[in-house]
Amino acid sequence: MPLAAEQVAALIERHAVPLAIWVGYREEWADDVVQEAFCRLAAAEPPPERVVPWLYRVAWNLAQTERLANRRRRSRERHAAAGEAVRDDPLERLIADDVLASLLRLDDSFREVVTARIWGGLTFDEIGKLCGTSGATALRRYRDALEQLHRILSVPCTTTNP
Amino acid sequence: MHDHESLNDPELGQLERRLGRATWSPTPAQRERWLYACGQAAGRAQMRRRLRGAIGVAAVLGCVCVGLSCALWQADQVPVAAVNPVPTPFATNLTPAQHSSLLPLDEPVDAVVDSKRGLRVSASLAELASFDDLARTSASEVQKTPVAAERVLSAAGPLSGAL
Repeated sequence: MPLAAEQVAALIERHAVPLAIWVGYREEWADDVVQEAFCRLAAAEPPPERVVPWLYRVAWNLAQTERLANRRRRSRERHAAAGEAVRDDPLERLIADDVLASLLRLDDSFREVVTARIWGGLTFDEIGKLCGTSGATALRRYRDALEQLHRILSVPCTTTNP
Repeated sequence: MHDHESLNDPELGQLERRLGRATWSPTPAQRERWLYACGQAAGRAQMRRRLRGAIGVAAVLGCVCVGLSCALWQADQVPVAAVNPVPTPFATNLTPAQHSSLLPLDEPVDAVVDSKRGLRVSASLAELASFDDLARTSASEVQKTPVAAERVLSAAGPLSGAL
């Protein structure tokens, strides 16, 4: 049996935006990639054992395909579309969030490993496998990314109010 | 495995926990769009699975039909014995020489007995052997029975019994 609608809705609620960050939220196709990944999850029978790492892997592969495809036509269509969609973009609103803003200032390799580790719950070996590196490299990047975030945020980590 | 390696810097650990508490939700419009797309994809997948099952069942039924057709076609090739309702006038077309060659003159009674004997089906070899013995004894009895000479009529009246 495939996943129930409530389970898919809960996964969308919790993991959709981190997935968009994971694949590169600045790309115009990030939402489409996330949507396609969730559609494949909804249609998967039987569903994967570890859903979240599976979602990250599918989104990563789809993003790689999109990067290679370089869809200029879709970009032109997006620019010609109504401005309402741009104003409704949650990431545009969330850019005010200092955590997200700091996260988006990281390099792609650092942002990927932090997103997959913290919000996806992937192991470093899984992250390394996805990104084409080793688990040790993923761990090193994670430490460097956290140090960069710490500098960017420039707030004492003892503060509990994000 | 590198997952159990802890971050040496406690500040980085605190930052990690702080980041983990941050959650982002999609906008209602985005959520509805994604849920709608997921429902559509799930429905399409379910329909595709049903269609695949129906195609499989149809293929099996087609194979069964082809097999039965082949079996019937091969059964039609086997010659089936049939009873000819109109007896062939075999003896009338024969010349006397042919008649004598086909019907030996020294066993006329036996031949008459055989032609009147009906076809029987034996259930076992023992029954078949008993039928064979019965046929031999009846034939020998017929041979032993003196055949009465028919009386021959002529224009002048019946001939003498010497004939």
